Amino acid sequence: MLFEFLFNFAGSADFMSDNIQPLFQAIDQGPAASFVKEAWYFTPMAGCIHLIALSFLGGAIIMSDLRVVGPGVQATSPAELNRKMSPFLIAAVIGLIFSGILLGLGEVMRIYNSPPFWLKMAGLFSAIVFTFTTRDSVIKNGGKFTVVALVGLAVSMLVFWWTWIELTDWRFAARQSYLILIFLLIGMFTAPMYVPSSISEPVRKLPRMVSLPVMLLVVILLVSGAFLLARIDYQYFHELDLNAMGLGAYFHPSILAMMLVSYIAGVVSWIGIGATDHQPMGMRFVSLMSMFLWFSVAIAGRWIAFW
Amino acid sequence: MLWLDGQPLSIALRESFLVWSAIEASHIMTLMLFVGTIIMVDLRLLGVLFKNTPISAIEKRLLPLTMIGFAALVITGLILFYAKPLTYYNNMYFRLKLIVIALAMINIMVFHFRVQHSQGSWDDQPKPPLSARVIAFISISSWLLVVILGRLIAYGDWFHCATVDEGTLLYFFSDCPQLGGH
Repeated sequence: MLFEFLFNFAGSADFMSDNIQPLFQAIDQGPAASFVKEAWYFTPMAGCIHLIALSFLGGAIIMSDLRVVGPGVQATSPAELNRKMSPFLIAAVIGLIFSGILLGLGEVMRIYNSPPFWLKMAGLFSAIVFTFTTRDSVIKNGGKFTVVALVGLAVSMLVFWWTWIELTDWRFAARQSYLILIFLLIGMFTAPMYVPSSISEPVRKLPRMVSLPVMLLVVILLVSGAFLLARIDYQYFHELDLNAMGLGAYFHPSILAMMLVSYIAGVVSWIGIGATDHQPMGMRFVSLMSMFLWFSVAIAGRWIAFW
Repeated sequence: MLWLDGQPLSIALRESFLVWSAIEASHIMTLMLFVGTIIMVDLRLLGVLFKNTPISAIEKRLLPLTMIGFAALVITGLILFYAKPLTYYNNMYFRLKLIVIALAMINIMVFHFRVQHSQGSWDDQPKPPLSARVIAFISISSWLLVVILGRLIAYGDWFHCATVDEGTLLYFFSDCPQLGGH
């Protein structure tokens, strides 16, 4: 039943127009939406609350998950840190949902027609389920996957990836490749911690010596790449005829982004395989996935303004 | 600003569908990293969080992340400004945001050069001295204000030059006379 609902929800335009659209139209014409639209201060106020909640969410997630991955506060155990951050995380999620509803009431039909809105909803659902079932359980149990953790993992991953792929034909996943780039930076930053202490000091320092220049290089490439891609993107929409370009069509930003995803995913995997950090691999996996899900929600939210 | 606004790369950047929004989203993500971590450090200095953990242990592990976040925030912010220089330069909230950022940086310098000298004596105290708590309060307030002002830049039309009375403070902050309004 749930499976069928998810399939229809993510893939069928008829299901959306028959069941969801009337609901959105009713909300759009209701008193709450009218009040928000007429009160000029409501949307900016909700926008500010949304961003502050996002900042607290970032703090809580980064504190808990980076502790597990490597560069967090090691004076406290991952389980204890996770427990301490939980109230911040819960408050931030409540603030996000509350302010998000206020923001949404101001433009109900626009968000209904916005793919990133549905991506954000799928991401938010997945992130909440994953964080409060899988991640919490795995960190609490020192890396062991209980039944609750496995069910949470299955549900969240199914909803997240299916919705994202089904709704966007991979386009959105490709376009957020720079998120993976940031994970590469985290990987490089944490790489020195993965080297066993038994290895001699000069060798142990080598990854840091390598990773810092590489990080700088990546930032320079990111900035220059942004300008280059902007130029291509601008020309693509205004001047270029992709059919006439032949092989040049491969330089379309989405394709470049897909290539980047493959490359970076490979590098991150390589770093992960060599990891000998103190925390079990299962814990590191759920923490990286938790950061990925929450940051994906933030990106999708920003994209609502453009698409 | 008019010269900057007319640069081909600036035009390409603001007219691009993929890259402009990607940089904006990156700005938000780095904000989560920077503000998120600095809030946690400030909460420790306020004596609210991690009371049994030495402040230096928190700073040692979190401040590198905060600095990385700040560097990325500045880089993405500069790119965003380069893409729409007139829009931001003319925006009252943008100008206020820069002022508050400058105040927050001064606050950091005061902490570093004045308050932090005696940190050894209160490093592991659950509740740091009043001077450190005041600095932390100013820090947390100013960065949250930066977030709020940053968000309000998008609603700059509240104080559109055409609707602001000439000679008022808002008129001055919006730089209406020089550029003839938005």
